[in-house]
Amino acid sequence: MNAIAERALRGERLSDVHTIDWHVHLGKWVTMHMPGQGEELIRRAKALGISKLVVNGTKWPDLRASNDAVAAFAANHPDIVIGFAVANPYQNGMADEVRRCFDELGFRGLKLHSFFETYHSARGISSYTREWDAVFAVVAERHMPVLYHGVVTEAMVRNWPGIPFVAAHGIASVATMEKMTAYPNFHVDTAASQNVAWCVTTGAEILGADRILWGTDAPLADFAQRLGVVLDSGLPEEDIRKILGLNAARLLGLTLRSV
Amino acid sequence: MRLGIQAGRRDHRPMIHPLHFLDVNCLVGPYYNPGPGQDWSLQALLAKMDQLGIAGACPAATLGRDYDPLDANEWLAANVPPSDRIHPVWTAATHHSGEFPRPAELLVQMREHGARMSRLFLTPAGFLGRLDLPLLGELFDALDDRRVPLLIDAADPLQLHAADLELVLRRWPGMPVILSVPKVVQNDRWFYYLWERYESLYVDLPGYQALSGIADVCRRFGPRRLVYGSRYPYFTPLQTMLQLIYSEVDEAAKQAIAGGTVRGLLEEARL
Repeated sequence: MNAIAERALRGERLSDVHTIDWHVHLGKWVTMHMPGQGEELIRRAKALGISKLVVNGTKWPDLRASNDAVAAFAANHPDIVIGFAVANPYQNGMADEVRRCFDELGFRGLKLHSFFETYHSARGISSYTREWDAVFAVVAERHMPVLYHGVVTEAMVRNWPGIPFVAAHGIASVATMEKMTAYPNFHVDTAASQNVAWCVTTGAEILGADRILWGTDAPLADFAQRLGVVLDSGLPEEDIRKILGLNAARLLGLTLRSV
Repeated sequence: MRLGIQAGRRDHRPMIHPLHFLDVNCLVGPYYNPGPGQDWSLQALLAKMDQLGIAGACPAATLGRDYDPLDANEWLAANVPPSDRIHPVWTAATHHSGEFPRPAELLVQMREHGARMSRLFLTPAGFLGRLDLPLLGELFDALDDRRVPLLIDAADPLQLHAADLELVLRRWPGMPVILSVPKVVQNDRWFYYLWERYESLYVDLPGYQALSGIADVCRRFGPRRLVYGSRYPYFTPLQTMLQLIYSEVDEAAKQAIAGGTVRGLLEEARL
């Protein structure tokens, strides 16, 4: 067993491991009760010694209000919270909103949720090609990463090689990882609710440990619970450290000192 | 009868953490679709327990879910001897089609093979898809009479409704029900309704992963409502171990969730 896992089993704070939780939400989740929202997120993350939380809004109907809430949360916790913008093409001015989030709110990336696409949608969310191109132009210009759940197609990843795309929960899909491994800007995160024991090892074999990022989906899931699948992966400690934070730091342009 | 369920038996491994984990939810046996590099044998389970410092486990046979409950128990009897670390879990099923022993006979088999807990697999493609009480009433009568714990493994939590479970908890209060649901982002609000009313309902940790959830449940209902389980070998046991280790509850509560509560249930089973 690696040294980080042994320390975790003793319940030690892992503040020197430079962990970055790449996949954290602010806001409610309509299908479940979440005791650990808002300030509790911060308190629990610090208790474990997590260095940074990459936070995006969940199912807020008004995306601008959602982004403003995340910005306020980040402003209240500048030592730990990094904000990501949320946008969708069903609400007008998507590119302008993303630009506002980067330039005025200080966000460091973009999160795309597929759940905005419902059976009432006029068109599939991925089909807004012109709008997505406008958004990705803003993202590429500012060298920001994109975390996505659905939405992003293989063509988008291919057409925007300068943008690091991270498939949310992507560690759970071997087929997708195999299909996308040729694109060096394709990454996955580990925020899957049904993380099988072998998923991280398999992901590392397909993509390499440099393209896997630790994420938890907190507060839907517990930070510590989601550490286990990485720490018990059997990968070398060097790779585990990459997955737990160093890869995210690279995509976010953070230096180790700042993490 | 000495059951060997004592929490203090930990001479099999060096001290890593102070908790006496007893994994209530794990499987062993032949499986048609193991993950890359996975070994579903009892030996692999014991090796993982040694590696992580897990004191005991309650494995059921995979065959009970994927093939046949009777074969599952025969396989378990032949391949998983009870010990102070391993507490075999008998697959439960309805007997009305004549394929599976009647409840009284089932209890005899359990006693003969040292099994003190049963497991009911509810899966749409399985032996029993729903919690159909008319089919299960006699079985539950027998388990209730002997205080045998029943782990309900609900593959799809949306198929299991509070109304169904409430009928079970109300009618068979002597049968401890350990509920395991694999999804964590589905509607979970009925847990709280049932926890408020029924002390015989327990939920294992893989089915309850919300941030700060352990502390919240302990504060509202006490530490006996959650129990450690892993869903090994699908999941690594380390996931829910760390969930508990880092939770903000006192040491006594952690010990209860880690294994104390389930050890008590096993001891209380009258077999």
